[in-house]
Amino acid sequence: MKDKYLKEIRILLGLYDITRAEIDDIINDYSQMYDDGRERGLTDAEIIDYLGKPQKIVDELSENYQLCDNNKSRHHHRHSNKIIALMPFLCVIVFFILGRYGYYHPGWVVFLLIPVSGIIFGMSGKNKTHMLTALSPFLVTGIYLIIGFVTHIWHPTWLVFLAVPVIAILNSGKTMRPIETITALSPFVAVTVFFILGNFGYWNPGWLVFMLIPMIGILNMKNKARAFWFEMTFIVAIGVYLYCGYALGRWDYGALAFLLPVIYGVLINDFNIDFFKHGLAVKITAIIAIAIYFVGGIFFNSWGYLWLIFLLVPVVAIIVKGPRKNWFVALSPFIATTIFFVLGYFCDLWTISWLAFLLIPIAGILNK
Amino acid sequence: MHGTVGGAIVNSQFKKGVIEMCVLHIVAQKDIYGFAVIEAISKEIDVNENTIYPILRRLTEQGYFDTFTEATGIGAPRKYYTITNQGRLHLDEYESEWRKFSKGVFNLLGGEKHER
Repeated sequence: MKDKYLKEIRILLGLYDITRAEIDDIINDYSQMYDDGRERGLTDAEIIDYLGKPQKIVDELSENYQLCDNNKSRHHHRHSNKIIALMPFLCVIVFFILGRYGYYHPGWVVFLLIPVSGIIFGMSGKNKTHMLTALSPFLVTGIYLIIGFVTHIWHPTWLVFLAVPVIAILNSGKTMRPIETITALSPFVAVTVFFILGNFGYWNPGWLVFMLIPMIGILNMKNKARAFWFEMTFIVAIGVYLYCGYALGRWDYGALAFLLPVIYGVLINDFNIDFFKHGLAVKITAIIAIAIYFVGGIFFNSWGYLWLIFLLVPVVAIIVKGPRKNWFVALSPFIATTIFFVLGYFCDLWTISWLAFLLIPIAGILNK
Repeated sequence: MHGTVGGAIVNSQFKKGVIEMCVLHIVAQKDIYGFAVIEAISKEIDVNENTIYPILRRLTEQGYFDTFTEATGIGAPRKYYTITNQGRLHLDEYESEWRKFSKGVFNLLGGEKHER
């Protein structure tokens, strides 16, 4: 009965100008709701009463979503598809023209236009915030390469890659309270400020900016009195650290002051911070990524390439929250960026590693 | 084009608008899956026009809800709806308009006297 019911909805939806992915999504939702009805012991007839008759459902959906064939949108789709299909050829032409004048390198950068145009035209009319998340690895890579080639200041230009997880967090900010968004962003802000201060010779006490991360996190605590005193322990510890360092010349003694917030935190035993309830895996990944990045950087001098670890943050977010059937498409920009950079950085294959970005349109086609 | 609720004839567009507000309100209480929304509304309102899932879908498309999936232990993972900040703002506007409107109607119909 369930199969027949779902099949009927699918057939009726097929009469409208609606993508297969969207039909699959709707059918999947109705399948879940049907199962929920069965779980409550309802009969098939009762479930259908609850969910509605297929024709009614499709009428409602077509009214709300304007699923009806729409000449304008069809024309727009045709137009977009043409541009996407033509882009590889246009890029090859531009690449060879540039090469003719001795600019094979960095002329290969034009091939970035293939995935970029695929995302822009393929997602036009859809959610613009997701488009920005999908485009961010390319925009950032473009900025990184342009600054790198022009100024040869590869370090600390790599900091721009922090923008990838930052954009992903900002775009998911719709579901977060402002304080949660600020908390999630604080590690990236701290890393950026730390390196800026470091470049001016203030590595110490510049690292104190990392104290912003727990201090902002504490603002999420429900018990405001405890939060206040917790904040105070950090402020006192920072004050003592700076005093010991500058007045007494003993930074090591000053560092002991940070035992104060640690002890207070253990004593109140209250880490009931809302922030950790949401997207735990994503937050843990961000913390682990930062730890790996710094440990790797300090001990193995891997600052130049270990930033790739930060791509894990949006990757985990997609795996945890995104629909499984769309994983490959959603992950493809990050996989492509990783392959592109690893081949270029470690094997000096920049001239061909851009091919990795073809993975994105391929993933899109395979998904359809 | 018209449905009946509590004996009174109610325009279906009007009813749809009210149900939309109820859907927003229910999702604002806690993250919830589709069937549970239908169930919660059906307990209080006669919903025989299967408008709820299309409303959930439209509100998601409009950015008022976000979705995530969670394993159920049995069968496929469930899709949960969670309200966004934009959705909360929309709900606040809706509720304040609704209160003003229903108070006006209540007064017009004779207030407490009519209620008795």
